[in-house]
Amino acid sequence: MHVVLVVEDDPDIRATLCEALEDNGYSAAGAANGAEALEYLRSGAESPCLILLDLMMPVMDGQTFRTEQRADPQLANIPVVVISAYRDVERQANDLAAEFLQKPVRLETLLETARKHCDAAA
Amino acid sequence: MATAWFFPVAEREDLQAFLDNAVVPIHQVDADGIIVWANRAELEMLGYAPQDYIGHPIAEFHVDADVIADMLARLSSGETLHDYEARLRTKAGAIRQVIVSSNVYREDGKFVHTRCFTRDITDKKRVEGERDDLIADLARTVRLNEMFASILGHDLRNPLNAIVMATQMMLGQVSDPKAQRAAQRVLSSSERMRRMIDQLLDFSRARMIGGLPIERKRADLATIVRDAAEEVRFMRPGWPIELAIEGDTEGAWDASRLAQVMSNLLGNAAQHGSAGVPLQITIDGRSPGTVHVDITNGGTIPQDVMPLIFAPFRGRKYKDSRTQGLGLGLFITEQIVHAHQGTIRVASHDDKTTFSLDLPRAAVQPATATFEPPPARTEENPPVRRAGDDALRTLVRGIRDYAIFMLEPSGHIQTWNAGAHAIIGYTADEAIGRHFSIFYPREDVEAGKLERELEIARRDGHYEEEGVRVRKDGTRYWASVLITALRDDVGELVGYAKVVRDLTERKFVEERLRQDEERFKLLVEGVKDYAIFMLDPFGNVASWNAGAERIKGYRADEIIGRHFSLFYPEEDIRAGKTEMELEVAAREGRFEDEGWRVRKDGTRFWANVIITALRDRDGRLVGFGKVTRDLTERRRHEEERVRLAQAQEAVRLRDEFLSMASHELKTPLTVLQLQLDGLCDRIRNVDTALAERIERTNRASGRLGQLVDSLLDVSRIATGKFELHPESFDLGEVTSEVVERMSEAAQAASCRIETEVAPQLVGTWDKFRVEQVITNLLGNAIKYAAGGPIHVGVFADHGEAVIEVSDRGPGLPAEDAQIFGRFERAASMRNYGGLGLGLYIVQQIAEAHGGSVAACNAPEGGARFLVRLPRKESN
Repeated sequence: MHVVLVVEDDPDIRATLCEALEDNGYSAAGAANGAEALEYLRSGAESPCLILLDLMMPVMDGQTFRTEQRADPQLANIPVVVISAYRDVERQANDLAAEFLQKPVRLETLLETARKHCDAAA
Repeated sequence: MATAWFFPVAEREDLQAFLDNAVVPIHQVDADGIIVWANRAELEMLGYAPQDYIGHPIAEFHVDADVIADMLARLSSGETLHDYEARLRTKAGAIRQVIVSSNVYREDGKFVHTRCFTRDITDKKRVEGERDDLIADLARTVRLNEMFASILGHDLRNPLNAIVMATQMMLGQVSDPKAQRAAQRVLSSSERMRRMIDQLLDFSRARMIGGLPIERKRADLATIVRDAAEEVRFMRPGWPIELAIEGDTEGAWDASRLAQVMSNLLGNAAQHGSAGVPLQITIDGRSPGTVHVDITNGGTIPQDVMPLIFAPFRGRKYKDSRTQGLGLGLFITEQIVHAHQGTIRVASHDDKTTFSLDLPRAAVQPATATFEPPPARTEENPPVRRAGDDALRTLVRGIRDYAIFMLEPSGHIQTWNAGAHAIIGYTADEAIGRHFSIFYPREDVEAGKLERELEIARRDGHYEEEGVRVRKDGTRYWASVLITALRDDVGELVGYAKVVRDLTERKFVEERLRQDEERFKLLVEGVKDYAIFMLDPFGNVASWNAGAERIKGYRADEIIGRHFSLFYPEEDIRAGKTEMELEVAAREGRFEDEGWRVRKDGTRFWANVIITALRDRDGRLVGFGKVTRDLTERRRHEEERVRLAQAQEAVRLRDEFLSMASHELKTPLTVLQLQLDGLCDRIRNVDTALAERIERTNRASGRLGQLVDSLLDVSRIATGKFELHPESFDLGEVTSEVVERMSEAAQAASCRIETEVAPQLVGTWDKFRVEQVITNLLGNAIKYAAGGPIHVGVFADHGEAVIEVSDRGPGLPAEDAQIFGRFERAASMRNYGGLGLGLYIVQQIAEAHGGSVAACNAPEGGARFLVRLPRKESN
């Protein structure tokens, strides 16, 4: 089973991303912010093959999460794809050494990204 | 013009002080163009010390040599200058914009000097400049605002409505639970988006147009609150709500707006309120004027959020505390309450949060800001001391114009006053105990003059003379001296009182006084910008000038002899303001005030008033000089400046609004698109017709995304925040990529795209923006020329790269059509959907690159667009 971790504070988007992934054969876990995501990653649950990361979130934002994640050798290798509505998401994603998807994202694009990372990891 | 003059025989200092302290900058220039005199206002305006200014050629201080040359030439030819614009340089190097009124004072036809009144209009000029800039910016804001209203209200809502309708229909037709769930999510996201659009519309109305409009009708707040409470029961089932209503809860309000307020406040409570604590609502209508509402729930608002609780978009910084995406709910709530002249406050501590509302039942006063004059100074007049001995001594000590001191019978100095210090130069410590011979020239002492004087005083009771005396610093002066013998009850000589006045000054003064008076009279008569007039000691008008006539509206013969309280509003007269002003001026020499004054026609104006006490040489009050300046205009400028600041804030908020709006609108859009994509996949195998419909809906949501992007682009352009990020790339390659991307859409419109691109056309441009240019032009062609071929060409032409897009559609309606205008659409909106923003953006991108765009109709039919981009070869 491939797990995708969705880190997104907006409950509608989080649920929608999770559902879209689940409907297409992935297992999805949701986290409302960077801190919850780290907690999940360190909880011993199955390690995800991909992290979808929103940038602007309360408690711990995407940038901080990415920095912490990369500093943790256990987690550093999990690929991260930034999902943001900002036009300059590309630059932000580059700064974070991550791929990016622009909101609003099409289902096809989302599934392509998931396939690329998770099926290859299998 | 009738001008009456009253001149008290004022002491030189008083008249000179009056002239020097006049708020009007005044100077005089002699026939050679040298400044011979200038008052304090003039020196202060320019920042010069007297010696830096007086005695220098006036031309030195003018920025424009030709201007002052012209002024002097006109003056010497007998012309009177009125409001002549000039620029003076201050000592600090700044330039003051002034207007000068001047003419020449002649004696026996001979040029003696000019009389020149200067008025600093730098501020006025600056305000005018700022105002022009602001008007331009506001015009942009208004245009943008119209655009938002159009985009948000029409272009965004329509596709949204289409989505909602299609989804509702589908809900009735599918039984797959996952599809049902997806459809539900589409509906809730659409609803969320609609709410956002409404909020943004309200926000743009509140902040950009100037207040939410409200319509007052009789409404019952209790009903409104009950309805809103029902919503909360639905949103948060099982949460206890306690509602207490007392008294009359009706008023003249905008019921739908107040419903919004209650829905926002109760919704906020429902979202943040602690579960265990019931929602408490009390409506108190027992007061006749105002209805009070308290809404209390459990939970505390974080301290750092409290100051920002009603601010728009605080959500950006404090995302945890945001309520509905945009964080505009409470902002709009406050705006509505303010539009009703009400107040709203929030208190949050000890796990309890209360919003308190006060709503006046009807409008109390118009919502336009009224300016309150600052409260008048209410200085207590110290009670006049009746002269006891101590008081007398104090009085004598304070007199500055006379040296008054006492001598022992031996001629040794016993007492000393301020005047003695000022005139003779010794301090009390230095003088007391010494013999009074120190005041006399040595020859007088040697001649025994002193003894003679005392002897006469003893014999006759007093001795009086005018003669030469010596100051501490050795200089001689012409003094008037009075020596009085002082005897006790039994006639025993106890000493002498000596009063000395410095006549050097007075002699000089008397010569100049005539000149001063003449000068003053001439100066004052012509002043139009200031009311300058005299009052007698009782406050009756004694003289009147042209400025007074202009500002106050009375002619000299109408007003002379009448009390100056005529110029004051009634409430000031009742409050004793006029008496107070004269008392202060009499006591302190000067009184200054800003406040409302009344013209003859009853209108009020905002005035700066300076009252100077005028005394004769014996110190008796003979009247007051009064200078009144009409500041109404300046106040208007200040008010304008406040409005300007508000407008700038509106512009700033607009920018934030745009970036926020486009970002936040994408949140529900993301959900919409993903769910619709999923629905399409799911339904396609089950019901092709339904799938087709959802596909269409899906395209509508795609269009929403594009609109939001266009909105952001246009706003960036309009606010001058359009930035290019140039990089080197091959234009032909990029064009082919875009054509490839657009091919599906072209096929759908039965368009065939022919591409002809020159190879190796490399330049430095913003790739993303250039792609946008091609996309927009192609999109435009596909939309307008469906069914026909589209030609896309890229070639080099004289160091420029040219992108050509032509179609075989209906062509442009007229060659001069403003096709690149922001909202222009070549065809009517009924025939073609979408915004006319695409071409506008093309033009802006081309121009930002230093290029251009042209449109024409091709001879063979159809429209032809040419975009030229300067080619900067990259290395």
